[in-house]
Amino acid sequence: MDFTSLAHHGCNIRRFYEAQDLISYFDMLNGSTYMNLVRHFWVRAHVYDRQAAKLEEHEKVLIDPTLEGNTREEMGLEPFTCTKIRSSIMGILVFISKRVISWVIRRASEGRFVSGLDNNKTSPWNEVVNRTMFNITKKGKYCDLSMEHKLLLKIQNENLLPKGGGGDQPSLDHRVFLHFFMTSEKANVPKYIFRHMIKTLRESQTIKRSWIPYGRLIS
Amino acid sequence: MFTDKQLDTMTGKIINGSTLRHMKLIRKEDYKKLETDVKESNVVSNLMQDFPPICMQDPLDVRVNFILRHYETTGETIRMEDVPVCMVVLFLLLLRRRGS
Repeated sequence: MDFTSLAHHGCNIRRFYEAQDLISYFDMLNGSTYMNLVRHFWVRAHVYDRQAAKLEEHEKVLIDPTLEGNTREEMGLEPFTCTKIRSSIMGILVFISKRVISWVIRRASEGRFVSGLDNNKTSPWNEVVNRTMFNITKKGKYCDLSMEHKLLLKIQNENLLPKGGGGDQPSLDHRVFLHFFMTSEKANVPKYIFRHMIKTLRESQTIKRSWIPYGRLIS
Repeated sequence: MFTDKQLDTMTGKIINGSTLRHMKLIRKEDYKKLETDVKESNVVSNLMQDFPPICMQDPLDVRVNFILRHYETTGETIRMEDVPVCMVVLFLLLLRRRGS
């Protein structure tokens, strides 16, 4: 990300990311990406959530039925603290959690988080985001966006909530996220990134989509 | 082991004034390269010799595919019994081999 070059060409958008405390994140993106490590991490990664932890306990009980009703510690398992993406690189176990992302991007995991809107046309968020993006209550078109807002959307699609394919028709969830940036209202970016990473990982495993998001962040 | 094409990964993309030109947000003649522009660079890692990237803690299909690929590219066979139990064992083996 080259904010200086963008500002020179009349698109000074640094202030939007300063308001979200994300300058450290963008500075970090300009560093090295260790592509092989990222690939090894991603192909072996799996989501360890409450459901996976329950399954782990169930397996223990299947092996030894006397363990039923015992705590995880009594079963010889680590206590479940939070959802993680677990993997191994060269046989060494590694994991990513929301807290790890927050630490890496030097940004507290706080602010608003809105998700699961699923393009619901009756959601009150439609009016809110349309007013922010197009200054009208009806849904506008991509071409109606200002230069700064088009670029904010592009950066969102490339670096914050990366996605493949075209980016000119964002979902309601993506538009709400963009709304937080445009209005400088703090969004819980580490949580957004972590949830998006989990979603993409599940997609890559269920529909065999070979796409790795956040290569630099994982490095 | 995995190519960019297989995994659809991409690095080295920089969002700058040139992006604005490609997005047709500024005119071609208005774009100017600056001395301060961020540039892409490659750094070669310090590679360790004889560092097999597999051990018995890896899933079976990963080990099998690695051994097959290794045979196709080098013609050398790796027996499953020779794959180290974990990375610590591998380090000890390598140190002993280098010491002798």
